[in-house]
Amino acid sequence: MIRRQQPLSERLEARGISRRSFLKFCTTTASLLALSPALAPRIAEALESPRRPSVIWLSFQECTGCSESILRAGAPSIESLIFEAISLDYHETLQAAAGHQAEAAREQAMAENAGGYILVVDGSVPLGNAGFSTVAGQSNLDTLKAAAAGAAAIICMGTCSAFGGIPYANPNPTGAVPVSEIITDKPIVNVPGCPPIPAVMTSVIAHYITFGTLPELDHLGRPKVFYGQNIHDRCYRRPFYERGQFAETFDDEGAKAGWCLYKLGCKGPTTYNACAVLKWNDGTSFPIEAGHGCLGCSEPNFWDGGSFYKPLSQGTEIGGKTLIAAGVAGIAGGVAAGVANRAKQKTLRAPKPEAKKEDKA
Amino acid sequence: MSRPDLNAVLRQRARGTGNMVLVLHEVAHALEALAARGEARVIDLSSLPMTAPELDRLTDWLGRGEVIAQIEAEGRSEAMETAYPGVWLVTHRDRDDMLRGRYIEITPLPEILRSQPADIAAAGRRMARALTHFSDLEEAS
Repeated sequence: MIRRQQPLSERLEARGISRRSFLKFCTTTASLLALSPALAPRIAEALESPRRPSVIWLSFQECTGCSESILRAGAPSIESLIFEAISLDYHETLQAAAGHQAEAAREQAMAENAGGYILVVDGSVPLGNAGFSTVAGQSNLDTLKAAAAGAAAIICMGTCSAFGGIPYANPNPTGAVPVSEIITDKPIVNVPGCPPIPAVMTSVIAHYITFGTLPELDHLGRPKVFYGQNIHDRCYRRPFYERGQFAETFDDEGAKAGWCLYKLGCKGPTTYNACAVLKWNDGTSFPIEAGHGCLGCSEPNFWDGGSFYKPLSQGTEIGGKTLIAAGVAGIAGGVAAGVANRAKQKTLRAPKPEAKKEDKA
Repeated sequence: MSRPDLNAVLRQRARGTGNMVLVLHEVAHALEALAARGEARVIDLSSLPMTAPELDRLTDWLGRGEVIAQIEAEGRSEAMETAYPGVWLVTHRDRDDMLRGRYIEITPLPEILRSQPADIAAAGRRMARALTHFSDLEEAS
């Protein structure tokens, strides 16, 4: 269990980090939060506060990509201050404890901070056979319900916990659901992405530390600061879209000239995320800049939304087997098979998180 | 498809989003407020999409003034007064030299250039310790 009571000023001095460096960090953090740089002193003040919220991080049906992403946040020596400003009491991948000791640490943190801790979840929760995903002999469902009961708020890191993600994709063999379909009486912040941008994850935590509240959310429970605008509107290739200049293949002259990737399946127009602004790998680039269309990974059901390589205007595809059946049975039979297949598919709908802005979490 | 005219592509890229002129108007208004009421203002250049050529044109347009300061604080930072006194271009990089933030500050002096009170206090303690050590050495010699 991480407990630190040493004042921040002493920690900075001990690590050879000047106050000026800290101010610089707070200024760039304000930028990430889309706050005025003038609020940097407020962030500094909050990070110096002795209040250290307890954070319990649970991992369910996931690939650990979200944890990998957050650990790759840039400039670890100073961004780690975010982690020093919280008490990360349970994280299966990061903690030194294992087995019963780890579970005891989680239970102790939950008891000591009942009603006040932040619960971070990555991964979807299987409602089918409990054996699909268990930790220490306890089903994910039971673990989530127990941990959520005493949480002040829940942060769903990644598309799997926010919207179900790949486990939720058709035919969803484990009966996976997002957290918001189970927990309906707690504030939930969805931070989708496969994985989310590291700075987005740390900034949501920083917002809570700084203001003691959750950020303003959109209709899908996502922080508006990062998910308020779509990729397309912030894309540097947007002028080419406006002029009707599209790459037709990945190696044609249009692609080489950096034209819009819409016709190659880019989901930027319907995807709300901050990739075009914050970018990846310490701001190096993002998928569209690397020459590939956006997959729409921060949107619900992105995996079932049709081909990644067909333009949005062509809509959702039916499966290949259905098309073969249609070819054999003729148009009428094909239509019937298509309808039957679509009926088997779960509705392509956005889950309805009970997310709400909380003034005082 | 026909081959694109690459010169036309480059011209279109240079035209960019059109946001450069918006930023310049914002700077002009902020400069008036600084002169009239002493109100400082910071514009975060990442808050508006602009192409790389547009950003280059923006900095070229603002020009260079009399002061360029380099700061080594968990990575290199630079505060450059533009050709318009009171308008500063401030960039922050991390220890890997990755760009972390770029701002236009409309202020008499960017905050990053000031010595911070906590650093000043720590410097006082450090200098006192060093002088004690210095006195010991003097006595020994």
